[in-house]
Amino acid sequence: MENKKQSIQELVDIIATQTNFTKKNSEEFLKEFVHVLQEYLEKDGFVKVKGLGAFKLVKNEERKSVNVTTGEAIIIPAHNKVSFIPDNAIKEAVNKPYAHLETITVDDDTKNSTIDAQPDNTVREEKSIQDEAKNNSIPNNTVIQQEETSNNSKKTKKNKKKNPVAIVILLLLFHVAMAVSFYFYKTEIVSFFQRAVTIEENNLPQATIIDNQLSPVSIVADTVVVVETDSMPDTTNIQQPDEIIATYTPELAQNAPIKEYVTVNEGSRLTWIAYKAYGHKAFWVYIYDANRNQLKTPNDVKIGMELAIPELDASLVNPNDENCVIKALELAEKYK
Amino acid sequence: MNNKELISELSKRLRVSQNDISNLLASTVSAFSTAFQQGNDVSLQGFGIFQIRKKNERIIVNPSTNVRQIVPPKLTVIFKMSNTYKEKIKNIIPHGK
Repeated sequence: MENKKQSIQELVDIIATQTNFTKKNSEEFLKEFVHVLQEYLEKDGFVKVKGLGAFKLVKNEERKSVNVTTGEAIIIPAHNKVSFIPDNAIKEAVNKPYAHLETITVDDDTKNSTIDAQPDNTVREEKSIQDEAKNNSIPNNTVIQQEETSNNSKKTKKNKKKNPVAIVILLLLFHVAMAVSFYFYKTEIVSFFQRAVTIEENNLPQATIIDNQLSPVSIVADTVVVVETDSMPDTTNIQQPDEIIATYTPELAQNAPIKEYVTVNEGSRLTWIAYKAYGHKAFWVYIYDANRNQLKTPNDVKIGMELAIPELDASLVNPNDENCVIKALELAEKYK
Repeated sequence: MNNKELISELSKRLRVSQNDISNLLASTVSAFSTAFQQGNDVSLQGFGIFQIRKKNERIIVNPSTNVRQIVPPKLTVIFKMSNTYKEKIKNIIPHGK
């Protein structure tokens, strides 16, 4: 599309060929047309040409401006201006190359922006509430508390008005949290009593009972005690756990002697079984490794399944050792 | 002044029938249109120049719903007054109708 300028002369040629008028007459017409256009613009301030568009005389009020070169403040005096609004037919004809394009709604950006906007509002509100509380520096605590509660109620009212969706989501989350906590609470109480009974049956010394209750190392505790008492903390002993941790492979858990079998009952999960067996939830990975033959994934645990609990070196499953837990968590990350 | 008045005024001045003027005017408009479609400017000496301008695409945001939309680029016709005509109409007060 080369930008070419068409003058009246060229227009005249086109008009003359399209109609049965001579070039002379066509030129006369076109010049008169422009003349009338100008004249009536000046007179009426408005001329409409069908198929081309509307011309309007618009007054620009005087305004302040700055001389770009000198930086001097100048006043642009009021003046008239011709505004041209093209006819729809012309508009469409001109825009043909881009006619197929349509306005597109951007989804992702809007979501982000709305999410971003929400916390900002709440933060601002909280700040304003704090400021209010500070401003009302009344020595009586109860008064302040009352004000705070009233402010809170105001705040919730504001929130409700602003984003009812957020309130609904919060409520749902709250319900879920309640359900989960209740579930854990229930299972813990039951298992605690079970553990206490087994300990009494085994007639273990009182010291270990206390140990069990404080940090439930459970039945591995015997070996732990033996190791600790027989060989007092040597430098070699301290290095050993690190080595075992570093060189751990799933085969180790698979080939380890089986300490006991646990039947999966309702509500049991690998993490819970691990907690009961080793005293920390993170050690479920070793149970999973030992039972690879029946567990394809960690979530494969089914009710009635008999899971083998491997007898592992205490340095690997010490719930009080940070390195043990970190190692187990690393493994867990891999298995997930 | 609307189209009808324009035709009658031209016909009166040129002593040509309104029908012929109407044909001439239609032909003029189509000549303008084809020139614009070819991307050409049309200049009417002593009055001004019609040019094609590309308006770039832009993003608009609905302030009440926060919905963002991309408006595609488009071509429009703009009219620029010639300097002589600018000077002429500078301080004219249109009577209006």
